Amino acid sequence: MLEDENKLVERAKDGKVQAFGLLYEHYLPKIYRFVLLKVSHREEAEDLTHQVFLKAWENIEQYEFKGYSFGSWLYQIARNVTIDYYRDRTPREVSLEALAIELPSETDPLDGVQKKLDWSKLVKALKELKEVEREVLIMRFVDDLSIKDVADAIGKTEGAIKLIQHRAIKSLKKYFET
Amino acid sequence: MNEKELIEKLKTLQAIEPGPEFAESLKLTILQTPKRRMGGFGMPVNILYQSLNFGLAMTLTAVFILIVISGITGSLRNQILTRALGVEILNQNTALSQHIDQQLSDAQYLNTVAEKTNLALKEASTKGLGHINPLILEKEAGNLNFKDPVNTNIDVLLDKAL
Repeated sequence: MLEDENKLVERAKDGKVQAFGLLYEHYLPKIYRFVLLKVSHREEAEDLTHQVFLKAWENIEQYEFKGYSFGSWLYQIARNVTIDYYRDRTPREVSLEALAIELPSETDPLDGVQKKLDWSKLVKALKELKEVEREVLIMRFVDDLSIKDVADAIGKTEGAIKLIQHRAIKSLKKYFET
Repeated sequence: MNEKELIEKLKTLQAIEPGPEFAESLKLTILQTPKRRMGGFGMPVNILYQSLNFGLAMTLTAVFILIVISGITGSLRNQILTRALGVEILNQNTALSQHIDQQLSDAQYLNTVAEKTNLALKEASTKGLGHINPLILEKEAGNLNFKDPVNTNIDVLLDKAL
């Protein structure tokens, strides 16, 4: 969670663009990763990320700190946006070209190629999981969210999230063993 | 691959980042978008304004139509309606009274016929043929030929029928 996040949210609610800008900068990479790993296509991930932040900006007055963080609220929006996206089409195959993941500029080119291949395999493995299992793993280990934040974003209890996480790792392990 | 290695592998995906150009252009686009202001009951001001505007427009249109129908042309409309309705009601009244008169006349006729029939039946049941005018009986009796019961008229009629 961002330092003084609640204050920033309050200022953003008052229409302070800079405050929302700071929230955006903090959460953009996380939300983008979450969406990209769900849709497996860079351009579509960018469009959907755009929608998430636009909805958040337009409806920020509706967010009230009732025990769950602004981040969890953003993930709720991201989940709804991707659910709407899948309502109209079937999930696509994962490919390196479609993912078009950009690596940090300092990455060694050879390492970069190997990394991209590994990620491609990993994304394919994640695709084999149930929707909720994939979401839990991405939020917990890719975006580093706490069990509580994941529970708030998904709308389940913390116990349920732990159970889903356990099952998801087991399934993923099985996938790499075969 | 054990659980720890798997989690480490997942954590490598943290290196995925949006392109800097995309991040910057999206930021500009979003922050330039006018934020919806909320009105009462958590309703965005522009939606509230639009719905009020629409409601007002509909009300004004309805009032205008009402004025046109019943206000400005009221006197003229009343005259036309009164005349038109008056003529129509008069026509209907005439037709109805004619119909009633006809019905009454039929009823009177039927009543008279019933009375006469009733009287005739009474006389027939009490006096037998006595109620019939004796002059007519005499005339009919003259026409009858009791000696020769053959009635030639019947033959003629039978010939015609065949």
